[in-house]
Parts: sequence; C-alpha cells; structure tokens
Amino acid sequence: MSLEIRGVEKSFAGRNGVQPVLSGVDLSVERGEFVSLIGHSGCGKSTLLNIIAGLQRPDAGEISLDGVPVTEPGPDRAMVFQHYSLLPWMSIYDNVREAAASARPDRTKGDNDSIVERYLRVVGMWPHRSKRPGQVSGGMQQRAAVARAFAVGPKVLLLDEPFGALDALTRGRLQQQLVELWSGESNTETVMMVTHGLDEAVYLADRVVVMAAPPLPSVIEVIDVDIKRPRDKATIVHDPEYQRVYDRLGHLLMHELAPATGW
Amino acid sequence: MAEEEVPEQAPAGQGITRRNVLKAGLVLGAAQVLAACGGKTTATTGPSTSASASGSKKSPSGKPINLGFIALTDCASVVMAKELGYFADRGLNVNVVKQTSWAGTRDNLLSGQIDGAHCLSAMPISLAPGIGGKPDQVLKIAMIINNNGQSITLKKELAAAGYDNLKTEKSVLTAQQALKLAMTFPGGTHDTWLRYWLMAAGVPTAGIQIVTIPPPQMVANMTAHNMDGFSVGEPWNAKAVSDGIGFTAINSQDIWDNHPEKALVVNPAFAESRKDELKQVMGAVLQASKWLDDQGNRASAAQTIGVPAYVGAEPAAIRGRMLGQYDLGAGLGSKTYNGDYMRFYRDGNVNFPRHSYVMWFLAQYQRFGLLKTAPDYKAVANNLILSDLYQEVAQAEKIPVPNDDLAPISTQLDGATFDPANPQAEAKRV
Amino acid sequence: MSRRPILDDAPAVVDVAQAEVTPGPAPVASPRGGGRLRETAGSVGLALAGVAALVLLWQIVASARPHVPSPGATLTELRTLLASPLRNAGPNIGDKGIVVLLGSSLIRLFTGFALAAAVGIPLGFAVGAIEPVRRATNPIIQVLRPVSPLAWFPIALAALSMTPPAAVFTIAITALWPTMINTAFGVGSVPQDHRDVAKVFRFSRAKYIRRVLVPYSIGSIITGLRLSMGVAWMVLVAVEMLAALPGIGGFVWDSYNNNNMPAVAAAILFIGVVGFGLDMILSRIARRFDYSVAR
Repeated sequence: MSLEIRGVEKSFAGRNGVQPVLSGVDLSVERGEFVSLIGHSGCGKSTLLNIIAGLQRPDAGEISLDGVPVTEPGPDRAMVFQHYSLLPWMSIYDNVREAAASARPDRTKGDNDSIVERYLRVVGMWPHRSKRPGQVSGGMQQRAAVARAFAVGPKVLLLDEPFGALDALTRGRLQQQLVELWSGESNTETVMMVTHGLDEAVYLADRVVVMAAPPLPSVIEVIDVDIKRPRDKATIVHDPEYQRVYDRLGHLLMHELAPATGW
Repeated sequence: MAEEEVPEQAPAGQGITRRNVLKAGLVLGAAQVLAACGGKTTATTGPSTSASASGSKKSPSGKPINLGFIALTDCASVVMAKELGYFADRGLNVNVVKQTSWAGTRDNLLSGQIDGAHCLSAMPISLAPGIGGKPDQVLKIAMIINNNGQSITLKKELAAAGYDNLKTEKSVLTAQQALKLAMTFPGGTHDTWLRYWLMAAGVPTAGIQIVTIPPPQMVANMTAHNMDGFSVGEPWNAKAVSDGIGFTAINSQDIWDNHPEKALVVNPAFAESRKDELKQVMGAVLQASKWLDDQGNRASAAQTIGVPAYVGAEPAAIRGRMLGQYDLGAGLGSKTYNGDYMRFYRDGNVNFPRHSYVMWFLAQYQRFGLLKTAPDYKAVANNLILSDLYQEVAQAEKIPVPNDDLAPISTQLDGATFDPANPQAEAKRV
Repeated sequence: MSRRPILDDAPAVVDVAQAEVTPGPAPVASPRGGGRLRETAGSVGLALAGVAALVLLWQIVASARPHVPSPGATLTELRTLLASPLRNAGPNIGDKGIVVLLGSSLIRLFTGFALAAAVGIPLGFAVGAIEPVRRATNPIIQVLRPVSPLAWFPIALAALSMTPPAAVFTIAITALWPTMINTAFGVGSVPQDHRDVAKVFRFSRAKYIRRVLVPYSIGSIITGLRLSMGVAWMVLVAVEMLAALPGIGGFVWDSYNNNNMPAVAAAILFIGVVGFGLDMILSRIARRFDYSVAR
C-alpha cells in the first residue's frame, strides 16, 4: 500500500485576503511506515492531514491510496484529533461504537461490538466505558479516541498533535500504547502524526517530514530515523542516531526556519 | 312594534373607517390601559388656545390648572368650556388632560397631578374615610356636571330581555350561565346603576362576574366576546347599537330620572389654596353647561368632542342620544326623550351638589353588601361636598340654588323612595 | 367598600436577595462535613441579610410616603390571602383564592409556552440548519422580534375574536422568539470538532442529526426556553391586566381599581416567587443536559 501525495496546494480565504498554506506538497508514504510531520505554525501540517482524511479538498494536486484517489473520508483512514473530540453526551463506549459502526457499515453489529470491546480493553478504557467524556481525565479521553480510530480498522491512521495537551508522564505512556497498537495485531499499518515535540517526532517515526509555510516550499526536508524497533524511550536518548536526527531537527526549526516566523 | 329607526348610515367610506376606529380603539385601548395604571395621560390642548386675558374677575396667576376628563359624552361641559374660550376669558390657564381609566383619574387627583376632573360623582364617596380610602385620601365634590345619559347595554343575543322590563330581564339573565358584566369603576356610578338594576329585577349577583373595564374599551371588549353586557356612559352604548353587537336594556334616566352622574371632583389642597381660581373654573363650566342645554348647540358640541383627542367617536354616534333620540338596537325600536336626556344645567338643578346624593350612594353600598357596617352618613356627606364654595359661585354667577338639599329621592325603576333622614331603611331594603 | 383600602403603587418588591449564585461544578474534593455545613449556613445567612436590608429600605420608603403600602400592611394582606387560598366561591376575582388565581394564570402560561415551543423549536432548527431558510426568514424575525408582545394583543383579539385565546396567543408570540432564536443559534453553531468527527467517521445525515446536532443544540434550546418562560410570565400578568382575566394579573388590576395597594404589593411577591420557581425548574433541567459537569 502506498499513500501518494502529489503537488497538493491549498489556500484559505481570510481577513487579509487569500493565504496560501500548502504550496506543492510531494510525498510518498510506504506501507508500514510511521511518519511524523513537524513544523512551525502555518506550515499546513494539520491542513495536509485533513486533506488526507478527506475533511478538506486540495485546490490543486492529488492524493491517492493504493492508486485510488482520495477525496472523501473512508474506512481506510481514521483520525485522532487534537482536542479528543469525543461527543460529550455519549458514553465512552457509545462514542467508539457509533463511530466504528458508521465508518464500517460492512461489519455486522456483533463483529463491530467485539472489535470495539477489544480496543477499549487494550487502551485500558473498558472499565470506564459507561462514563461520559466529562467524567474522565484528558489522557483517558485521548486513549478512547485512539481506540475509536483503531476500531475502524483503517489502513492509515492520522493523528493531529494528539498528546500535546497532556502531561509528560501520560504522554509517554500513550506514545508507547500507540506504538504497541500499531505494531501489534491491527489492520493499521501506516501512521502519519503531526507533532510539535521534537523528541516525540524522532522517538515514534521512521521518517520525519519537516514543513514550512509559504513562500518557502511546504516540505523542507525529509529525515530518515534509522533506529531499530522496538525502541525504549528511556534509553533512546543516548542513541547517536537519535541525537543526530534530533540535532538536525533542532537546527532546522530553531535556526534556519525560525527567522521566517518572526522569531 | 315601532318601526326600527335606522340610525344615520355613514357612507361606505366612513363605514370602513368605523371598523378602523374599532381596531384603532383596540390598539389605543390596550396602550391606554397600560398607561392608565401608571397614571400617565395623554395631554391635549384644544385648537383654541386663546392667550388673551380679556378676563374680568381676577388677574391670572399664570400657573396652569389641569382638569382631567375621560372619553365620555358627558365630558362636554369641561371640554366645551375650554373650546369656547370660557376659561381663557376668565384669565385661567386650563389644560384639559385626557385620562385613560377611573382608577388613573383617582390617583392623579390624589397626587395632585391633576387639580380637578370630570369624574364619577360617586368616586369621592367610594374613597371616603371608612369606605375605600385612608384619612389623607379625600377628594371633594365641587359641583355636579350632568344628569342622565348613561345606559346598560346587553349583547344582542340577549335581546329577549327587552327594554325596561324587569320581568323579562330577570328571566333572561337568570337563565344565563356564567354571566359576565362590566362596569367602569367599583363603587362608581355605573357600578351602582348596574347593581341597582339587577337588584330591582331580582337577579342575584352572587353568580355574576362583574369586572372593571375603562369606558373607551367597553365596546371593543364586547366585540371580543369578553362580556355579556356593560354599564357605561354615552357614546359607548350608542356605538354598541350602531355596531350591531348590543342593545340598550335600560337608560339611567329610567332608573332615576335626573340623577347625578359626573361631578367636578377636586383635589382638596387645590380647592383650598387656589380657591378663587377654582371658583372661576366652576363659573366657566357652568357657562358651558348653559350653552350645552341649548339643543341648538348640541350638534356642534358633538362635532367638537368627537375628535380622537377628546372622545374619539363619530359625531353621529354622539349626537343622536345627546338630542334624546335613542335607537335601542336589536329590533327594540327607538325611544325619544323630552327634557330628560343628558342635561348639564336645568337652571342649576343639575349642578347643585346635594347632600342627599352622597347619602343615597352610601345606602346603596350597604344594600349591595359592599359596605358591611353603616357609616356616618351626615359626616361623610358634609366632608365631601364643598357646599359653601358652591353657594358663593352660584351667587357670583347668578345661578338659582334649589332648596332641596335633603329632600327625598324617588327612583322610578322600582318605585322606591329614599329619605335622607332615615338612610338605614334604604340600606336594609331588599 | 368591602376591600381594605389604602394607597398608591408600591415599589416593585421582588424576591431579589436570592440571586442564583452558581459557583460552577461541584469541587472534586469537598470540604469536610462541618465545613460544608458552615458554607451553606453562610450563604443562607447572607441571603437573609440581603432580604432584611431590602425590607428595611422598603419600610423607610413607606414611612416617608404614606401612600406606599408598608411591609406590615403587605404582610397582613398576605396572611389574608393565604388564609383561604383555594377558595372558589364565585366568578369574580374577589371570590377566588390566590392559589386558584395563580392556577388559572399558570394554565394560560403553559398553554402559550407549549405553543411557542412547538412552533419555535422546529422553526429554529430549520433556520439554523438550512441557510436559504435563514436568509428568507431573518429580516422578518428581526422586524417582528422587538415588537412589544402587548401590541400583539389587540391584533390577536381582532383575529381571534375571543379574549382568552388572544391572551394565549400573545403569550405564545412572546415566548416564540427566544426559543426560536436560541435553537437556531445552537443548531448553527455546532463546533467544527464535532462536525469533523461526524465527517471522518462518516455519520449518515440521520445519525448526525440524532447523535450530534440535537444533543449539542439541546443546551441552547433549553436556554431559549428558560428565557421564553421568564418573559412569558411577565407578559401574562400584563395581558391579564389588560383584559381583566381571572388570574394573578387580573387580581392586580382588581386590587388597583379597589385602591387596595397592599394587595398589589402582595401580588407582586407572589408573581416574583412563582417566576423564580419556574426558572429554577428549567434551570434544573438545563443542568441535566450540561455535559461539562461531572455527575
């Protein structure tokens, strides 16, 4: 399976006229890859993710998954949002089940229910399934959101800064859980994750895509992360490859690209 | 029996206007009731604002005098005194201020926002100490303004009750379920005529709903099926007939011929501190009263007071009954009065504020069960009537003062006689 | 007169002190039992102090202006009214107990209110969800909304020819606007996040309406209903006065004509208390649908 992104452009009409956000993105994501997208605000990383998810349409260019053009949401892609986005009036269980059921109309109810239960158990939310999102912590909500996305069984999992609002400890645990789910028994083989955290980008990804806002090209550099899996968060900081990539990212973001953003 | 006298039909164009007037009356009425409770009023000054003080008696103080009135035909003497320039001739700076309800009039008089008013003659009685007011809530009667010219109107569906027929009225009314009748003010003249008439017909008031509705809204409310009948002054009874929604069941002059109706009621502080001006006001109103009792002037009076700023009804509706020509409505024919239609002067017989009047009303309050204990009849009457003032004015204006202050009163509706020397007899009469 | 007489209009005396102070969701760690009791006692104490201050002010005004009914006279009148509140001895307002009158008023209120909700909520949905509908109706709504409901009464009377339905209509037209506008607002302001979820997970239109739009909007709808209830109650009293209908408003009109100002003041207290009660009920309902609070 490959996700091909060719020449994608996107602008938004704003108060100050038309603002370009993506100017010609070219990217190929192979099956089984975990790709991080990183860049300063306005570089269009979330927009790109939304386009891949089918929430928005590009002004130019094309996205195809296994040769099939992507224009609408579909069962082959699922998303974990920045702000959890669980529906507050439904229980955790209903949130996951309703979403999975409507994304996968091909499933029987029984199948869907057991898949939902499985993922809720994996993320440890099964005991809390009857609670409402407002009754659990941010970390637990995000776990449920991850379970929801996985329960759809998508080929590509999209995550938009999913752990940004959580404390370091919770973030660490969820990162591990994400990797476990992705590399374990699931349909999901490919992951694209937008993040602001350099360490998160390197720790999780096989490749890190550095993006920038126009007039700079949207994709500045794609860096391979050549660290074997499974990766241990505690020890990975000492890995020279980790440090190389981390430093390169730091240099790009803090020095080369910083002036353009006014810093 | 008699040929139904078709009231003067207004041409088609004005017929439509009449409906608009009804609607306007509804809107106006609605707004007015709201305004009424706050005591706010729409001030009007007639077209004739004569500034010239060709006045004879006194030099004007310049300070305005506010006289209230309500949209009824019998406001004519106060309004015409203004319109004919009689106030100005005497050096008075008078504003005639339209009131929207009797309760509003009461409150405005008490607060001094108006100094005097065209007012129900029974209102000061209902407020008298021990009855409806507190010791510092006194209003005084300076003189009577008019006799007669009020009626009780019933909805046309009750036409079988007929006119001035106590027997048929009793049978029709007692047959009604949940009868709802309106009057203009609790304890006022219209309330009294209504209850007196019901009692005379032997209709028990226990099961009847009697509500208070300001005069200008009477017809609109009957049109809205909000009530089965009302007791009010002209021109609203005539209007109900001409609108085809009601008929006249009894005229007040057929209850008590030449009864006191409206009075010039004044704020006591005003009566004391500006006595000389009050005397001139009374003089001017008496002048207008004389003028009005000349039949030849009534058509033009109807024209003048008919405008929206005053009564707000078509002159034709006002004029007919003012001249004593009554179309009773609902196929009951017509009735003509000679002399005992609405009168304003009658050589001073109208205007003399008799003590017997006050006592008669008090006795009726007791009779109706509105007063549980007997009041001090003489004291109340003495307290309310500005007798000395009237005598002075009558002398100055050269108006005859009758000698029957405490003479017995006969009411022809039920053939009763009231003796002011023995009010309890009346109070206990069933 | 059989009515006890007194004076002019009293200043509006409403149960002001009990302003609803809601400090937000219940704290996760509640104070120890004794501390909580002290807190409640403190609030009640403050409320009572506020009421006492108001009554004192009232007494001062009444002493200075004897036409204003005093707290004492009002209390006496209250006792009289409460002595036989369920009386229904005859058709006149004076024959009916205060609870009977309030009952008539509430029936009128709920009828009009129900009408307004039945029309306003669906209409609000249409306006909020369907752009052409919104554009078509917006100018009309903006022009009709500021019209005082009491101005509708004569028109309703002319159209319906009977006073009681006209009164109900007037209440309904008053209650319509807050409900409709708030519903439209709720429906039209579903957050992007929720819409994205529905889109990404491919909710059908029916599912979107049932699982996203309606639950999200309920909060706004109930807010609208709360506003509607408040304003409908106010208008009801005025309409009853206008039309001398038997009810609490009719009672005020009747007392005014009879120069019984303490009764007017007592009626004001009743009106305020009932209004407060109605709002509390709706506020309870609103809280039930507030998903941000842990329950």
